[in-house]
Amino acid sequence: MGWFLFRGIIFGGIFVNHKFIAAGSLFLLIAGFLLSACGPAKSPADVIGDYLQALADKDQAKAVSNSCGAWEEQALAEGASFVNVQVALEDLDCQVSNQSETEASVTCTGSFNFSYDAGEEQQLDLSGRVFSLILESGDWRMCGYQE
Amino acid sequence: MLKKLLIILLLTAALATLLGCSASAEQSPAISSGQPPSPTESSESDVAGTAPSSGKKDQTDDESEEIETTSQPIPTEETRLSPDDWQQWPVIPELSPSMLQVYQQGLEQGNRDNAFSKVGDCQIIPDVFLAIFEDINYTLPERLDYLQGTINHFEGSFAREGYALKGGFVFPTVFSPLRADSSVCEPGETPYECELRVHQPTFVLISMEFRYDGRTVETHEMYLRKSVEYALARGIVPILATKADNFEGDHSLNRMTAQIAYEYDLPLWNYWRAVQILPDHGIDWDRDSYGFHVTPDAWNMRSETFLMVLDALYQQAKNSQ
Repeated sequence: MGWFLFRGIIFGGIFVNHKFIAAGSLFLLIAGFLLSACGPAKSPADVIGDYLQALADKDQAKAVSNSCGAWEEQALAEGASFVNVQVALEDLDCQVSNQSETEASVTCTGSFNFSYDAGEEQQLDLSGRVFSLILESGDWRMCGYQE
Repeated sequence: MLKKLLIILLLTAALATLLGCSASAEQSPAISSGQPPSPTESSESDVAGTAPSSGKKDQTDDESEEIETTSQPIPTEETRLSPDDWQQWPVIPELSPSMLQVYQQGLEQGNRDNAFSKVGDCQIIPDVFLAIFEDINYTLPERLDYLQGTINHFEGSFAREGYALKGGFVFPTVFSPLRADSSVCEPGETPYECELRVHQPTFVLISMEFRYDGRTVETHEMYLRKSVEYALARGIVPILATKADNFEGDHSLNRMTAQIAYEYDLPLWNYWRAVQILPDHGIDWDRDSYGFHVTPDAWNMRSETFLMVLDALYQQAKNSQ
């Protein structure tokens, strides 16, 4: 057993010597380190897409989780504003319009389509709004509308 | 010799005593001058109808100017009904002196005296509230003829929906920039802000009745205060309203609305009181079991009594100028 570990292992019918094992392990360690330092998991456009979908799904918790601390209360209000209507998000496409290391702007096309009390259909066009994001705790987060 | 010495000593002692007494008098002239208090302080106390001045006696004229009066003002007797008695509040309110001031300031800021805004939900959309007064086929009943002038004056505001009123709206909606009409409203502007900026009214009716998950007395209070303070800061007189329904079971929302009207001295349109004379107090139980929607008779009562409210407040404001 000791001789076996010293010289290498047989992996899938192939003998892999100890030097290769050491090099591979070191490679994986370095790669893991680099990947973890790459930055936010989601792009600003993805964050806004998730935020808007959360509103349509009436998932206030998810809307808040995509919001910066200063916007959380307003995210709850935006979620509550859809509570009494049947709503669907249609043809959503969000793009980053501006981005620095800590701030970003996103614009979207598409619309909320909703009806109240099974009555008149209403549409809320998303174009013409600029969503503002900041980098908070390593992730992009919805933080208001550009004024 | 001894006698002379004694006489000299006595004279010296007498002289020293006299000199000491003079110095004492110079150090405390107020005590010795005997001057009465200044007539100014006395007259101010009389006009105020307050307790006598506690200024020092026997002060010189110069020092009497430094006398501070500690008059206690007599508070104005509270004649308003308590918010607990909101059910007895009149249907048609009056403008308080503070609201007359707000109205005047609003005019000076550019608000239009012939415009009013509406913030609300399905209960006050034009189809069921006020639009009929701008219908050319409609004629006011004779008993309401006196209101035609107000209809003419505010023409354009009755049938207008605006940007903070729509079926399905709740308080969070009018404070959500996402729900603003982006073709009219500025970036980041909420529907409420947009409406008041675009329409520039002197009055704004705030009437949110539609229930929603998360509505509590506390959230209702928070949003209503926010609405009121935003309007007041812009010289716009908020008109609050009670609702006909009692969905919450204990009238707590109407009670809170009255509380806020009381605190800010706002006009409260007591619509709840107006519909009490109607069958089922105006509630359309045939339409929904929640008791939220009102009957057509209650719709008519809503439009007519609000028109009366608007007329009363406008006439009072106009006559105060």
